[in-house]
Amino acid sequence: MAEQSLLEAIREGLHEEMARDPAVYMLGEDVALGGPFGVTAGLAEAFGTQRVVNTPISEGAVMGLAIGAAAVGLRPVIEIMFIDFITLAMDQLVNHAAKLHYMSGGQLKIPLTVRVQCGISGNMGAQHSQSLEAWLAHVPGLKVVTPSCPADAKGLIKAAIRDDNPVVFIEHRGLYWARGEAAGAGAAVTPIGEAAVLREGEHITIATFGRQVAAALEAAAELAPQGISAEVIDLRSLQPLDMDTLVESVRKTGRLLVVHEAVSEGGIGAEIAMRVQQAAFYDLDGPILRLAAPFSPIPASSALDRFFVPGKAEILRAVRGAFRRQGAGG
Amino acid sequence: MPEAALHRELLARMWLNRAFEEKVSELYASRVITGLLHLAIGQEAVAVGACSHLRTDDWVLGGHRSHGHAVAKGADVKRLMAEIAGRATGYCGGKGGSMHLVAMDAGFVTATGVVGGQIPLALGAAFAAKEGGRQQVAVVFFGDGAGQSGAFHESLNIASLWRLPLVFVCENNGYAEFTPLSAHTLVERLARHAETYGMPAHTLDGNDLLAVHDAMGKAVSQARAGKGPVFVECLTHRMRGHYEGDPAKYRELSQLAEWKEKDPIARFARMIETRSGLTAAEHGAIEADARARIEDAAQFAIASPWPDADEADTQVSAGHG
Amino acid sequence: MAIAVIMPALDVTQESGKLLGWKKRAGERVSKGEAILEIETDKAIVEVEAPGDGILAGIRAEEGAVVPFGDTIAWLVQEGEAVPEAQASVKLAPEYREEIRPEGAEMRVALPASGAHGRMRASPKARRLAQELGVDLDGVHGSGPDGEIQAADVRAAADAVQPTGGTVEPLGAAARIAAERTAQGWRSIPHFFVSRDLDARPLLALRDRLAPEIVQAGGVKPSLNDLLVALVARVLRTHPRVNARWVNGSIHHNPDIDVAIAIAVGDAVVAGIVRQADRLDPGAIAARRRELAERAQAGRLQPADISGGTFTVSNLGMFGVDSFTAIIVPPQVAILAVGRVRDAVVALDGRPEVCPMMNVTLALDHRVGGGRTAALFLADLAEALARPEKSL
Ligand SMILES: Cc1ncc(C[n+]2csc(CCOP(=O)(O)OP(=O)(O)O)c2C)c(N)n1
Repeated sequence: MAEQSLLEAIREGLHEEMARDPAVYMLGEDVALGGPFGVTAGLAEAFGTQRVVNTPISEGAVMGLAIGAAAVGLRPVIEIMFIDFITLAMDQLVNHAAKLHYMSGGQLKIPLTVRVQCGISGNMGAQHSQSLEAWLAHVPGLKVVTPSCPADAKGLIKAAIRDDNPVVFIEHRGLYWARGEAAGAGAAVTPIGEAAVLREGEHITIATFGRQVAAALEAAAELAPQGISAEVIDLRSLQPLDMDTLVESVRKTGRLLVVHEAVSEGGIGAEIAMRVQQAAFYDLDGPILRLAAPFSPIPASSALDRFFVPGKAEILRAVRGAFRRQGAGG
Repeated sequence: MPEAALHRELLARMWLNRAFEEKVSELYASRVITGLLHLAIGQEAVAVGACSHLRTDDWVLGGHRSHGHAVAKGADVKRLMAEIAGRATGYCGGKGGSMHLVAMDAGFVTATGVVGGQIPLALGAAFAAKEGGRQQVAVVFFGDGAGQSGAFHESLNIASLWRLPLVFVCENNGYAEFTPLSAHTLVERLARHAETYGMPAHTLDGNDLLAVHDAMGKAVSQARAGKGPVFVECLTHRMRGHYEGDPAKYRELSQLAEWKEKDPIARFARMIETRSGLTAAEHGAIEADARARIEDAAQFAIASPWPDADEADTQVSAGHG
Repeated sequence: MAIAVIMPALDVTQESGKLLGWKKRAGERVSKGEAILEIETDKAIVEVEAPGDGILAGIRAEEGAVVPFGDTIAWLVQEGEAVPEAQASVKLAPEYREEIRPEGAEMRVALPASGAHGRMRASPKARRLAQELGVDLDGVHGSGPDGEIQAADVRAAADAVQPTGGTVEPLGAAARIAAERTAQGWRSIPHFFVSRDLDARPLLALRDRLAPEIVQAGGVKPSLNDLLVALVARVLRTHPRVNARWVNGSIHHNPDIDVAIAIAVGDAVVAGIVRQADRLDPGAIAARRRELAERAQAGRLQPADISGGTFTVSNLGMFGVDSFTAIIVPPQVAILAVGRVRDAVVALDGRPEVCPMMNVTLALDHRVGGGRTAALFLADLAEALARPEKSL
């Protein structure tokens, strides 16, 4: 089995798409130099700085540029670095990219890919650690995807680039160097809108994405010998959500735990809980559970930020809580 | 203050800044401190020169590379060091960290990790200072990279339009992350933008402490006198990578050597040897004193407790603990 | 005093680096700022400078070693000075990584509210099951958190009140899956039904004409149902919505027309697939049907024989059934239920006449189409049945 890191898989996907389609361009701060984490390393050498373009620190203008170029025929990939800085480009992304197809009565298409990285890693503090996927998923016209393994990273970046809509591709910084099975050259596109059932189970469904997928799988493995069989779903696509897979799973297990690193309130978990209870209320054998970061900015101190990353221990506690017997305590 | 004493005082402040940053670098390398750290070694003359004219109740704001601005504004180096080390005794209880220092007791309003974000905030501080009627001024530090942000341009316009008591200090160190300024703009001197917006502007050698000191003296008094904002562009260089851990491969070694020659501390010391009779022994004592104070600060930080787990999500909103 | 040479942290989001090689040997004198080793991170190769003046000694990491940032890897000593025993203990910053998270340093986990609130606590699923199984929740013991009644409790209660003495009929895996699928289809698909009585004379005539030819050529004699399957498949070509899949809230038109036919195997029924039935003549369909039946009897059906149908035809005519409704098998969106051919008195040209008639009932997923979609399909089927030679 060939292995690669998630970062290498993204790079490979970008490389293949740029080679396949001359309309694909990369734009972003220092992308021609590889960017701060080296994701785009080598692309400028392969495709030239005409197509791999370093930009000034002008997120709003560059986002607008990418959208405009997409409207008239290019397929730009823009890197915004930290998702926290997408705030500077929100007008262009939300008021323009997301709505132009609609407002133009279908005349315009915006085949734009926005790459951002998110999450807590490296004690970077409140402005470089957020998980803001729910904001973006709340905007009609945007698609939002996030991979948890190299194969999906490559499959989803390709799908994002080929999609005729603006797609925000979220990379969890803490997964960049996580290794996994390589997708391989020319590998398939991972369809946007399809979740992956990574482990089948009967008693509870754990739905999550990004870094928490590994934690959920570890927790499920630990629960199995104790007689709790957990089904683990990697959502992969946060907009649109694959409700069919989720609902089918919950119909079977009767229970749902949603896990994310974003703060608790108003997150993807809330949306999932709402839709699952609507579709499968009479199949629910217990309240839907949510495990998420405290509703707070993220502290810089390494003594504090670890309370913002749901891990295996928390998942175990939440699941066991759902099966706790009377008087047995938590 | 007589000139000779002033010179010694300024030299001591530069050393305090240098020692602070070197200690942070050392503690980072040995993993006592973690995080995303941007050091300003080589840029000390700007911070010290600019802040030497400020009162404690003047406001200063900075960006991601702002340890030195806080030190120069007179913040307690122990609490700064503890903050960067994530300790409970830090200025922000460990919640802020390197890029988000706040030291209100010293008039350091905030640093920010979002490039350009501090500039509009500084407009607000200046606006409030003007309304307060106590001749306070605001000073905002930012890099050349921020000069291509929308916030920068919108802020220059408003500051001059409303004649706010604000001094824009652009630390033009030639690079934004790994890219030279010339690859980001054709406007080589960012001061020219200020002229466009009708604001007096100067470009000067930011490694020449006295040049910064003089220019800032005039700028601050103009702002204090209610005559509106001034833009001071200081040409300088950071001697470390963009962040700690950045191997800085994009930079020519010759370039680094050239800037080492222009080290603002050594240069200033040489200058005041002749002008103010600084002796090698005196200089040595000044450096040693700064290093001792910073060593104290480091020991204070290391010995300080970590913040309590319960603090993780307090102070989210004012008035709610 | 000896100076520690440490593996310097070189990356914000990683914890270790690889030692590529020493540029100085043990015993060599080095001065502050001189490059003494090279290390590699994911991003770059970096030279590390001597932290002071001294003699390089006590090297404890060799080339190729991956060393955690902050570890002491050598010392700079003065002439005659011994290498210190251990690394001076520094308090390292704690990591958020779970593996090395100290005991008790977990984040808070919000569990659902507990405590009874007057009402009986039973899960929605338990309430539904109780209704379906006729169990009175009042008498059920709850085993969930805080005594909540869960589905398993209701099932246990239902089992407990089953009349004793009866026999349990265990189901095989395939039958259980089929049962579950049927239940899922019924629960999740909004079914509606449209029926039509069809004149069976042309079909009977066709069989009488074709059967001898085919048998003579050594083929399998086509049944009425085989002929019907052939016709249905051809009608489906112009009704892609009826030959579709419902996936994720959208209608996926299937590229092929693969008709599933119900085949009885003992007490069970399996749905065998006739692939691309619209391109097969009645003889080929009959042969395929025979092949499926034989394999089913022998228990040698392949997965490809029973999965992936795009439309189902279910015929209960041989059991004397006049008409019935059938349940759609997801992800298919339609199923045709066919009754027996029976003599009936119908009005033909204004006069009562006895004529062989056949009832067909289409069940359609209402998300895919409404009454019009179903009616148009049946109308075209009636037309094809009236003049079968036109489409075959
Ligand atoms: C809005 C925003 N975009 C991008 C970044 C990433 N970033 C951090 S520092 C930096 C370069 C800043 O350059 P400059 O303003 O010249 O300051 P210097 O680092 O030279 O002090 C960049 C692009 C950021 N922090 N904020």
